[in-house]
Amino acid sequence: MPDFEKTIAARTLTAPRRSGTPRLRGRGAIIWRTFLRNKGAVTGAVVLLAWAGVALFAPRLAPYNPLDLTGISRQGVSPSHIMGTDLLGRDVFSRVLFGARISLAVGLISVATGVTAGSIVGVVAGYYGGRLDGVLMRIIDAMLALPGLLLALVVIAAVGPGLVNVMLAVGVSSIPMYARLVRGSCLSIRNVEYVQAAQAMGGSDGRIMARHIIPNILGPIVVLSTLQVGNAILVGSSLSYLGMGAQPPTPEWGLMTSDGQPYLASAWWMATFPGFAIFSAVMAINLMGDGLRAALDPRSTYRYPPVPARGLQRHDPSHPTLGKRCPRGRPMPAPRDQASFTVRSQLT
Amino acid sequence: MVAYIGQRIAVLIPVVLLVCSAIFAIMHVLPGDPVQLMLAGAEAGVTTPERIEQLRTSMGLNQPIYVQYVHFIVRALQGDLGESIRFQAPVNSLVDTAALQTFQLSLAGMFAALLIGIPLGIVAGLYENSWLDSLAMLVALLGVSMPLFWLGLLLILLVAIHLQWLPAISGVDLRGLVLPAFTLGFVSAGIISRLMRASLIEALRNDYIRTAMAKGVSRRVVAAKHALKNAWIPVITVAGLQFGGMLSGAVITETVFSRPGLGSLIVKAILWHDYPLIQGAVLVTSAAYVIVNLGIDVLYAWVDPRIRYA
Repeated sequence: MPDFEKTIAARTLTAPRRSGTPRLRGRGAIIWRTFLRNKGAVTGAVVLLAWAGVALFAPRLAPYNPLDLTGISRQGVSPSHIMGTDLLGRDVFSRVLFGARISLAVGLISVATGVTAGSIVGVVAGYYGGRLDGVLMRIIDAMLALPGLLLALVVIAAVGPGLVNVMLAVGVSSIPMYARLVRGSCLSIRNVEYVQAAQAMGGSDGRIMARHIIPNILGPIVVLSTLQVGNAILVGSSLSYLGMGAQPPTPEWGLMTSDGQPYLASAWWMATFPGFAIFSAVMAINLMGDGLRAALDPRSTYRYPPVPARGLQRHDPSHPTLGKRCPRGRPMPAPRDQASFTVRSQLT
Repeated sequence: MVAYIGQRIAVLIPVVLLVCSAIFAIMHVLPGDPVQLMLAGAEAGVTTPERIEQLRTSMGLNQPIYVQYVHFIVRALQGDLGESIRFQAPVNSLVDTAALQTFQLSLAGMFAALLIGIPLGIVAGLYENSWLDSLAMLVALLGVSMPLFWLGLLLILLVAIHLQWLPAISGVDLRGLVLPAFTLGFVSAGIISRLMRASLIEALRNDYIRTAMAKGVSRRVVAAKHALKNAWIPVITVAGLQFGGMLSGAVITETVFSRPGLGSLIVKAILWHDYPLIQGAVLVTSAAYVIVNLGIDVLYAWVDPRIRYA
């Protein structure tokens, strides 16, 4: 469709609103409602909150000290050890609970590292453009010449194994992604009027970037960061699984899985429960991130309150969408009979 | 087309040079004596001053750093990656053997990903919002949320230990490749099915689909001939990117199933502080990744001529 034509389809006709529901106030309310209507996203948020609670209150929740030898070696699942014991007789359940602290910290800290460094590179490249942009983007391209986990491994090779280094490695390996996202968004708004106005008023470059550009491209950064926390937990635990991260006796999920692997046939609980913990935390974050993305995306935002079946005026019983509930998390589908009209701009 | 390929390769040259420099920097810029670190890691600490001096000379570490840098780049461009400390063998031969294994695994993984992802995505796209669609989306969600090593272990536990259908450790026959390939392909299967679905739904909304339907063409033919043909293009790109990403997944998969390959070689080399081996293996991996991505770009431009003129 040429862009001087704007087709306003029948979907813009407002549907009747259920009386009693509070009026939507502003975009924040729309985002919040869209998020709440997404069952997956809410489930994810609940599971994630539960893990955060576990991380905070691990010492109170765990029946044993995660480092104490509390039973015999490789004791099966029983009431006293609900996830069994590991090779040294430590309680797997307590270790899984304490592992939440490490994995969530790895996820959050490495994302914070990556998003900060990546955003600075991206905004500088996008704002100044020119040769500086060229140089920075070639460096980013070089970083992208190694797929994710390998880039993290290279960083570990340089700085040595360890949990703190894992956070650094995972953070560094996500820099290219943020840098590209921020640069792209920055390019699209660097010539808008309010940026020009700030420049005309004599605002310094740093101030313009921090106060005018970054806040206006925050949406996509937040969405990517949320999803990236899950990925950071995955990569972090993978590095620990490979022996490059947490060192024994740290109760880290990836390391516990790796410790349990040789005893898979005789003591399955050692490797499976920590792995499940990683899986559930990452899935919760992914569900929540997807919900957040759907809610923040202006194109897929839910805009109409649900149309109640009761008290509905159905002018046309054969109409495909009129009077139907809007499917969860999707925009209202356009009706098939084209009750649309075209506005032609005179400016061409 | 030739001009397009040439232009793409020209962009890659500085990238490859930068990667070489970064890999060189890892070994030389960081604090600590690389020779002592390497000997401690690779030869289990039995070091004599003579051995240290000998290694330093043989690796050229007593020369100024810019000489070393030029030597490294020149030799790497000639295809000479130096000698592994741990194995006392040329890095080239070690990496070649490993790369072949990883390539085999990646191919099998890609095959598994397409075998699961494409049909699932097509079915989900054709029957939008049905239970099949939900199933496909669930697979996609599991794919991006499961740690690869855990998926591998669960498969070993279920298929190899309990059911005893397939071996857990890959031997000479292809049966040993099934579980690693499935593990490696699962993530990509989810991503591919999701994209295939979205792309097909998009294609089905076009006017030419309605025209075909109005002409009385059957649903099946419309889906196969009109919609699918146009839905392929983004899937090809992403499948290609996934193929490159398999090199990353291979690190985990090879470790879980104790397969020899580039991934497990890099992991071992890092744990042993075998710097020449790390450099060589990482260099070869990144070169492979870049070449695969270049191939995908070219394929993409060939399938969709609009790209070339963009």
